Amino acid sequence: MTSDPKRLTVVGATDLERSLLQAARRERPSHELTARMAAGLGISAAAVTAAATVTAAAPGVAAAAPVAAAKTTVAVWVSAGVLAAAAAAGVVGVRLSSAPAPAGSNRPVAAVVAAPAEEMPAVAPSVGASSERRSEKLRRRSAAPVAAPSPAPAPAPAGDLRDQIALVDAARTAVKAGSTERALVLLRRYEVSYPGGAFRPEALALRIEALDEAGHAAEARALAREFLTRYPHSPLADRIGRVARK
Amino acid sequence: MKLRDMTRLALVKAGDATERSTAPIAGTPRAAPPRAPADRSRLERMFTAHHALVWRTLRRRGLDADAAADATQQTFLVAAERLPDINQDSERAFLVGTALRVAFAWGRKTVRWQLDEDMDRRIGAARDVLDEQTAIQLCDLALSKVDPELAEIFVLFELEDLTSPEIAALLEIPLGTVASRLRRAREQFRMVVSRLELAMRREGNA
Repeated sequence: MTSDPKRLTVVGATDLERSLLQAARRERPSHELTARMAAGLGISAAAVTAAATVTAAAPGVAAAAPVAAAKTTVAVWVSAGVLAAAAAAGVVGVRLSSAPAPAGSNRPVAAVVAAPAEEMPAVAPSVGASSERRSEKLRRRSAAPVAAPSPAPAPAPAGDLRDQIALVDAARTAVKAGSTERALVLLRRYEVSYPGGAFRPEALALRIEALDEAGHAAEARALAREFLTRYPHSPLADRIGRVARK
Repeated sequence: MKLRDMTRLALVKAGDATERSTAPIAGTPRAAPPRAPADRSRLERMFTAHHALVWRTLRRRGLDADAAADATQQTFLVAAERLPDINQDSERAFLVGTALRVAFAWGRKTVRWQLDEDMDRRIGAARDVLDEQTAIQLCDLALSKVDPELAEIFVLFELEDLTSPEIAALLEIPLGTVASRLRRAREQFRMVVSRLELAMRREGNA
């Protein structure tokens, strides 16, 4: 059992270090942002706000117990699948990343994301233009020798992530429907297309379950053991552990 | 660098929306079976318990408040689809890991900076105690001077209270690497803050 060092805020920090770290730990999204996020997920904003008041006393520490207020009936439940599809199509991102909403604007995102994705504008041009202006302004005005992080390698485009989510989702649906062969084909496609993909653990777990379902128990067990070696602390470890122990 | 130069800088979103692909997604599931009330309740509970943590984690990655909210929502959308796979004891780790992936996929690895004309005023107004917003911005400023791969671990450990094993699992790196990166991250962070402190003393703000 490895013992972690004490947090800096607990031991060893200077006053300024502690001030900065504690301020960052206390930061929370505004009520407006929280309401927008909650609405987009079909969650009662009132319940979240009430709970936030309770948990704000201990920022940085996740509330462990379900909050009674969170049990309030969800006013609007948008199918997670539809939401995911909308998010995958960039709708949610565009909606929330556009220019800051005017004060008091609390338009539920759900109403936006529930619309067919193809009807939504693909991108808010003003955002990009505005960002460009800001960047130009920065280039002109910021002569300070800021050691900005060196340019990162080109990140995975958002489209890649959406494709990854779609493939893994489709594979999962296939496993649930008992279409294990289809699931394995989809997962193979995922592995070939995204060897460094963001959802490798999930894809491998699905492959294990598909193989197990299809009666390839020995192969499933072997892969399950490999999974546990590679991802011993994965949230999926318990689930895959059951296959490994079969 | 003088404090006045450093504190003029604030994290902003820059060039973000233009980096996103607008291509329609092929094969995206258009509908899902209706969720059971238990799933709805669980997602609601997860959101209530962890949305601020997820949002903060994304903020420390350089996203502004709006963009972090956007990415937080996407993180929970992924979670909604994965509920059956998420162990009750691993919800926080799952969400943070997903948030990091979403942030990465959004192309926010490179933190952009721009002048924040408010910062001088706020620092000028601050006396013995920094105001909250200035402190947060200074924290982000200090973090931006830390190597990104070290800062990631520093944020998860020092600000969000994840344990070393949790971080090792999330980032798929050995525990020893977590420990060494955390140590180096602390050294770098503290060096930057000490420079800040010296500068503040010179300017009479601390």
